[in-house]
Amino acid sequence: MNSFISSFKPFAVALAAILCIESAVYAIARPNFVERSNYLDWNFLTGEFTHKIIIFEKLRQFAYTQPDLIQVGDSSGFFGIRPEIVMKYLNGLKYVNFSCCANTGYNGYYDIAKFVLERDAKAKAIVLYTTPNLPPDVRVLGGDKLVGGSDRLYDALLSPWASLSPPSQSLRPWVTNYVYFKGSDQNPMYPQGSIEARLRTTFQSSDGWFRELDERKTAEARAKYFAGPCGSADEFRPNFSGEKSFYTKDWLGRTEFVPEKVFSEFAALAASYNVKLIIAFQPHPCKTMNAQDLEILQRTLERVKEKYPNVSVVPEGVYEHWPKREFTGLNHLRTGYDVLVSQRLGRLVASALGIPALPADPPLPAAQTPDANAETPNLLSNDAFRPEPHMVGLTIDGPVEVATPSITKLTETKTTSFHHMATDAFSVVPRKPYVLSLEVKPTGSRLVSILLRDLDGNRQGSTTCNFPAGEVARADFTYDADIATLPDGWYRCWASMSFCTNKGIIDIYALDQNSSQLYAGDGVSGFSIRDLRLQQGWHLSPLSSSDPPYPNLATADEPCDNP
Amino acid sequence: MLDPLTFNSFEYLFAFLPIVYIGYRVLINTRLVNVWLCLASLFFYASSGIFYLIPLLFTCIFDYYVGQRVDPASGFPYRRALFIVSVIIQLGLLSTFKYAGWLDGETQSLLRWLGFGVTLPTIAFYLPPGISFYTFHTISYTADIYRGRFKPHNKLIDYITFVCFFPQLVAGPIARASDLLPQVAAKRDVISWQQWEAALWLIIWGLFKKVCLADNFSILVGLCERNIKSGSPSPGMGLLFAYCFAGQIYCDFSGYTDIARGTARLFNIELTRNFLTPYFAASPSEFWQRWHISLSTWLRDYLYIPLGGEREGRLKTLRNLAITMFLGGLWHGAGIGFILWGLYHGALLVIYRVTRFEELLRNWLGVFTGKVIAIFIMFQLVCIGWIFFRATADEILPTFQSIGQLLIGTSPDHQFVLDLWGLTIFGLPLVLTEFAGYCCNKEFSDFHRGWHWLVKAAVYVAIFYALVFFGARQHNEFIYFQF
Repeated sequence: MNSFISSFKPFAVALAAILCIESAVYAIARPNFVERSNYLDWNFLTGEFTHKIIIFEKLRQFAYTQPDLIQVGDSSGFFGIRPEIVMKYLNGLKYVNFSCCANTGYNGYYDIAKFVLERDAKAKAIVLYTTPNLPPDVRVLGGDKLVGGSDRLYDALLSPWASLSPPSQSLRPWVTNYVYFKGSDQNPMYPQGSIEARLRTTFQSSDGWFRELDERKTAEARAKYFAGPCGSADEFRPNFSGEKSFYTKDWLGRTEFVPEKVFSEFAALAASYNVKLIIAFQPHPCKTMNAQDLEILQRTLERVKEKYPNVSVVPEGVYEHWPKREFTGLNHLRTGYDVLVSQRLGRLVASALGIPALPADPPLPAAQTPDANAETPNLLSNDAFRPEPHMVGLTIDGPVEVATPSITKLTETKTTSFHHMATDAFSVVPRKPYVLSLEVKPTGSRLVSILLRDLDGNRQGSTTCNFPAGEVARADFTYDADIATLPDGWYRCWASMSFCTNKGIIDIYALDQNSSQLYAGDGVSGFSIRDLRLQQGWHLSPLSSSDPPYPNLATADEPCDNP
Repeated sequence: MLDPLTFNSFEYLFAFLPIVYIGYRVLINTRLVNVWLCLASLFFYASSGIFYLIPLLFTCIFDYYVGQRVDPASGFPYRRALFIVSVIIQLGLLSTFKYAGWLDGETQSLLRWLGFGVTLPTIAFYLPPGISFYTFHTISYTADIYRGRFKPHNKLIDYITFVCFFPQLVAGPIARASDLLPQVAAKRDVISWQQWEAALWLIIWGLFKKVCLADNFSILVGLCERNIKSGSPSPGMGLLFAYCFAGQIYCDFSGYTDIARGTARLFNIELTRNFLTPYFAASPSEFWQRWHISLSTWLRDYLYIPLGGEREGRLKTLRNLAITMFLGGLWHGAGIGFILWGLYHGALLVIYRVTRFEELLRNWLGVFTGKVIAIFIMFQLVCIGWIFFRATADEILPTFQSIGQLLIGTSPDHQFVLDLWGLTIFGLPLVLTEFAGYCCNKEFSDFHRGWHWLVKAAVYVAIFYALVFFGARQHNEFIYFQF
């Protein structure tokens, strides 16, 4: 016995010390299960995938809020569904958007739902919201472990070992930051202005929704893009009967149809917690779904519903088409249409839950700023751009005559440098949106990048007009953007952002083919600009009167106090 | 589907190991104890792939019966022929799995380069984990019997347990039958509480080295590698790459060995020591007496000495050294990098032996300073060797170029400084513990016995929080599993 005591005394004392420390940490920091999990890595000099941050933040912020409805699924729901709009139809029920990304995998959606259900005694339903474009198949079941897919979720949050995570693990971000970076701001997971920081803050007010960040396409590029998946018949064809990845074998060697297996597993999960499962499909940009595929999917869902009475499928016909211009790609609706698709889901979910339908859609807070058009005052004066000291690596071949249709031709110098010009600070109304629009004609194969920023540099939005691809990409705080083809090789490119200070700056860069700002100029290439405007508005009104206006309801911009 | 069981997984530490230990304790006084250990070992191995059991069991059973026949006392007339055949078969099996795919690819490339439009059938095998280790286990068994140094064992289950004993199956230490088999076959007592404590300490220390040091070094190696591959590597990044990999491979392999030794001690089996502060070696021969000791002694006893060792003159000694190290490099895997690494170490051995470099330094600079300088130079040389071992063919040149840039005085950039800071953070515990061990000619883990219980408790708490705060989150396999 003495030998036992002497040998294990150090272990016992260490254990007692650890228990004391952990109790103290728990009592002071009160970390929840997500915060003390090892889902995020916090490794030296290696960042986290944004997908993992999204899942971590959603679970951290909402898994313990006892929502009535738990939405899981792919990014169609993440970017599409705004809980505050859905909840207007749900008679006071709390709805939270836990959707993230397709590479979380259906098993990952399942893990998220299970994790929340385990902590949510009030839950009434799971909403599995996905695009019909990404039905369950063996390739998307497990997701990608690197971006925090199913395996990683299970290991960190649901496995028996997950409960061994000590409370002090929630202090890992601070400890690693202090040791690895001496407390500086280099390693925090949420560096100021980063997408991660914005996600965290935005989720607090949006219950899990975030505005999409996709590229925009010219009408020609959009038509070309959709021609592939929709084909000449404008028909979505998943090929349920022929594609092998929709089938798998069970442990007895029997063939299983993966969508049926997956929907049944979700239904069984919901049933085990005595809640409903609402399988909801996002509208699709292809006009129709192949009849045979649609029938297979509908029959599958019917079988699941027969077996599990707690299952509802919305819309009833499963497939619904919305016009292509309302999408940024096959899976995401464009900013603005999130309002309309959230209203749609609100109505459908209410009906599935037996909540009486509202006589009319509840009023939405209309955007206070109308779209900019030709009559909207232009803030840019004629001398907004001046050659020096605001111009580097560019020469002007003509007069700068902004706010007029006069053309200014800019040619890059033969130097390895930025090829850039900037305005002085100009006066704007803080928290009001502004659209910068310009007509551009590239010389050579140059792209053009627009940077809108506050004078203090805390908020900025960049936008890249890629003329050969017919696309415009945006980043940071750019709210919306678009590009259109004009006659004679000209393009109209615009970007919108709200400023947080009363002074703003505009930078315009020429980019090389690799979208690099820093490159060796050839002395020939560049771009011409005309009709440069800065006007109040979330969008620039469509140039053609035949184009429908942008939906401009209940715009959700990020607050200025976002980090 | 079961994930492969690895020493640094929760499944191993909190499920597999406790279950195996409890079963062992229940059966310890019965004949079934080795059956239990054997089944547990096979389950452990099969978690990587059930089909890997086929070559493993074939090797075990084949050599068990060969062992019966090649014993000088057996009177079998074709003993020598059978022994040669058995070695050829074992090495043939190893080569097929390990080198056939590589040789096939290289041959195809050569034919294409020579302009032949011939396409050979593609050969590809999944490499059974640890095949190099268990092949050497079994070869040493038959070789020792053939030479009359060891008697064949007459219990198949004990023999299979010896070869497959899970702590050392996939990455060693390479056990000699004369050392391990008697321990496995003997009736074992329950270990004392002191032995328990020592075993647990080894496991904890090994885990710390693997999770807090090796896996973080691995992240740094990845960062350096990305920089080197970028086309314009930071000056000196190649040096950091080599240092970080030196830390990674040592902490990874010695961490594994510590866990293996600690685990084996729970079953009252003592595995051989595999490392002894190797980066404090002052010469190549000393390095190989301190690094992967079970391999280097195996190569010495079963390759270098049979080739003639030092018995046939200076030139042949040097030749034997070069051949042994070349084959030692090849043992690690199929790839030009391993071959270059082996040849490089062979060349170092030859050069040091011919020039008596270490002795020169001592005579020139004095015993202490000469020794310090010799250790410093040897460490740099070992690190250069790791570049061949780790870098891919297209990384080797830029790695050396970036080292050259630093040597000609180009200032390091911000990325270099950041990675250097990482190397400092994770390297410091290693340097301090290794230095302490070197000063006392033991491993740091050996100090545990002499610590006051309060010191032990403090170290356990420190390791626990090191694992919580600094343990790398990516679950990395042990490097030597691939060999």
